[in-house]
Amino acid sequence: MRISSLWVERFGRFEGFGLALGDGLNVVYGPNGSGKTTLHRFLEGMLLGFCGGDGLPLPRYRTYLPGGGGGELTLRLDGLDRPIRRRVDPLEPSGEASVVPEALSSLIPSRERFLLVHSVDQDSLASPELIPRLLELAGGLDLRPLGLDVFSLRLEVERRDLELEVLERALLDRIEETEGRIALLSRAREELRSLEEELEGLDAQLELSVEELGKSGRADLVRLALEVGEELSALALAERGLRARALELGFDPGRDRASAERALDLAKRSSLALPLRDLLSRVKAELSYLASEHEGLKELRVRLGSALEEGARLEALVEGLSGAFPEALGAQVSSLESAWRSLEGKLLGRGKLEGLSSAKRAFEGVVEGMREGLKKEELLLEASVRGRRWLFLALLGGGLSALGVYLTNPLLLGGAAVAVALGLWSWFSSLSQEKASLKGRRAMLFDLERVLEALRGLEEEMARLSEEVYGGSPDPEGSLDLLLALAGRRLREEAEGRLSKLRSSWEVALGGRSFGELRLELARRGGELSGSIEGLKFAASELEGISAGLPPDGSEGLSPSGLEECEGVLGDLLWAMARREQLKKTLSLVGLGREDFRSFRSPKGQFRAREGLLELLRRREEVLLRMGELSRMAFALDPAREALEELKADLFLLRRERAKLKTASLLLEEGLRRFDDLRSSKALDLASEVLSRLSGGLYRRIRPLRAGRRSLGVEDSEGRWWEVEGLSRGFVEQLHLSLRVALCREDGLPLLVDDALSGLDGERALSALEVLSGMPFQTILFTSRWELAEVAFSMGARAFRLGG
Amino acid sequence: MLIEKAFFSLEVRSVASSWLRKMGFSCLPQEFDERWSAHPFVALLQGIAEELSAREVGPFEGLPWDGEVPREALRFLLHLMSDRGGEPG
Repeated sequence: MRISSLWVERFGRFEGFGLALGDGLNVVYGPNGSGKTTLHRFLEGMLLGFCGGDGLPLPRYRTYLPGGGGGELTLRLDGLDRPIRRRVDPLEPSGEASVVPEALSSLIPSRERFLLVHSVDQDSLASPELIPRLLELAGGLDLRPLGLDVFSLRLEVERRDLELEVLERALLDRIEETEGRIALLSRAREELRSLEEELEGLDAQLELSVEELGKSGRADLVRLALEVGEELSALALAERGLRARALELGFDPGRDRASAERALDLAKRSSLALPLRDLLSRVKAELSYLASEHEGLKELRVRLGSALEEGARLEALVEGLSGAFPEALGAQVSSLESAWRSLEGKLLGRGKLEGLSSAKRAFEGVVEGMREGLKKEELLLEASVRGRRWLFLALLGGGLSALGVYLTNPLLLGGAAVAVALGLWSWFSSLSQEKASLKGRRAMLFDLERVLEALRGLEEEMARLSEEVYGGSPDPEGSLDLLLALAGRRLREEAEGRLSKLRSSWEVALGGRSFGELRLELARRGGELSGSIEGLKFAASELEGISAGLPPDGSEGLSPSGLEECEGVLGDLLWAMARREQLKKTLSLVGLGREDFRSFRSPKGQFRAREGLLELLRRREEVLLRMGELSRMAFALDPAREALEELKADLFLLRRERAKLKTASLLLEEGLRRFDDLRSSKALDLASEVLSRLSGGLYRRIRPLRAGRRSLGVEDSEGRWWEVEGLSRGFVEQLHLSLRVALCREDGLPLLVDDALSGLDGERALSALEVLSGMPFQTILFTSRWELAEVAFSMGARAFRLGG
Repeated sequence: MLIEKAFFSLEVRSVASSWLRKMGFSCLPQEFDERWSAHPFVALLQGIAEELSAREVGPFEGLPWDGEVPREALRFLLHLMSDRGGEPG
């Protein structure tokens, strides 16, 4: 498709302006402000439409269409001229009236693509950010639309390869280690072979020695000794292994049977250590629990006793209070109170108080009278005492006179003495009676005074209570009753409350039983607990006794399987020891004792032969022991070799897996490269060609740097790749132009270039004109550079001048 | 001690195999999604794998090589693609 002609009816500064355009390159020259951009926008709008969906001119055309405008293009389509007419009218609901050929919509798939590819100005050529979009249009080099994230696939492959590499290193280490061990075991096997040869030699020498000794008729015994010696060697070897194993298990069997038996005993007890300690700890825990329960029971019984006592006391109190202060009295308190408040009650009360006061006063009179009577009696008594003192003196004088008389008449004196004695007795007797009487009266007076004191206090108290209760209307008798009734009722209520609380709190504990039943049960339970505690204490002491002989607390003891093995090892060891002792005994019995050689013809020679024989036997035993050790090592050689083979097989497998992973990585790498090549369309190839021409051969190829990424690279003439981001603005313009030229060639639509080659130097600009003039699509180049127009014209392009 | 060391080799003999099983392809789906075979990119990989299979000497020094390695590598990639649960585009 190309634009044959344009006619501007009205658009911007143009009105009634027309041009007839050529097939290839058309250059519209004009100085700044001559209307190049206006014509560029006019062509865009005529091809794509001026208005948006809202019926208003799009912003990029709005300034050119004040009050409307429009024009006509003639398109050359399939060899025919097709007109496009558009008229923007503000009164038109859709914004513009247009006549557009149907084929145009299929030729121009989208406004965005047309503007990006076919409508170029200076700014869009210098924008690196547009390159990825152009790149997609030119080749679609992103694999993501294919549902494949190659980048993460490669990461996964590399991760697995790295893991296998680590494993490979570990395997190589183990292979090296195993090879070292195999070398060691091989040496052991060689030594074993040489020992076998030595053993053969020893056996041959022994045979000779036996033969020699056989001449003395002792060959049978020597053979027996040899057999015994062999068995002894085997036993010693076995013992060594068993002893080592027993030591590994933690039980030193020692060198004699007693030690081994002790070790076996220790092992058995050790196997008991764990369950015994466990049992002991459980017994102790149970004991502790039972003791605490027993204590609790005791406390319960005490509490039960005190509760019973308190209950009984409270019951008695309630009962007593109920009897002493019947309910009726409490209920009548209010009526009594009102009655006492009455005048009659007050008078009665006052009368009682007055009676009490008069009684007190009368009592006071009595007391006073008694006090005065006592005082008089005391005075009389004092006078009497004085009189009697004088009488005493008189009697004494009489006595003395009588003494004089005595000297003259003893009989008379005796009568006088009796009379005096009687008089004195009578006097003292009456005096003491009078004193006692006086003392008793004094005590009575004291008591009466106390009573009087109490009466006074009672009077005061009654007056106070009367004052408190009746507000100055004394009713001591009634107030006392009332107070007592109130106090009694409160006391009883309180006692009943406590009793009820006590009963309810024990109701749960009793569980339907009586206190007596509960007491019995507690006693029975206490007895049981005591029995259990005693039993457990006995068991604990027994267990502690047993545990005392066990290994220390820190050791774990033997498990059942450990004990089984230990018993087997130590049992075998004991058997071997016993057997060895038996054999030694046998050997000593059949041994070549000194007395056995007495019959030899040459005792000295026979003795040497015997010594040599014994030396051979000792060496043979050593050889057998060493061979036993080496045999085990030699036995380990073949498994080690097998292990090495397997490790090597594993290594081969692992390396093959790594080869697989690396090949997978290679496949992805190479696949992406080829995929890029396949996906790089003709457009990209053409863009590469254009770029090569524009850059004068400096760059020759455009490709994405990495598939899966929207990044572009260019290959220079020496095969090096450069990222676009790092290149100059002039080069970016060349790249833009190259991609657009290629895409325009694919689309077959015109290219509108508005002042876009101004950033290129003369040589590049010339190259660009050459490229554009050689393209099969139409190019309309707007420029302010006259020389470009001239050059284009000289290349056969159509050139137009705007303004002047 | 010597004997124990010698026996040590026996213990490690199957370690590598089990590691391979653990890390290798057994954790991938047994069957891959056949639709991936028809993917244009996979078809391209298949061609490259066949080219590599024809090589007598592998491209990686020190690693074993036979004609099956590239095919197995391609199968592994198909397993990976299937394992990721994506739909072929």
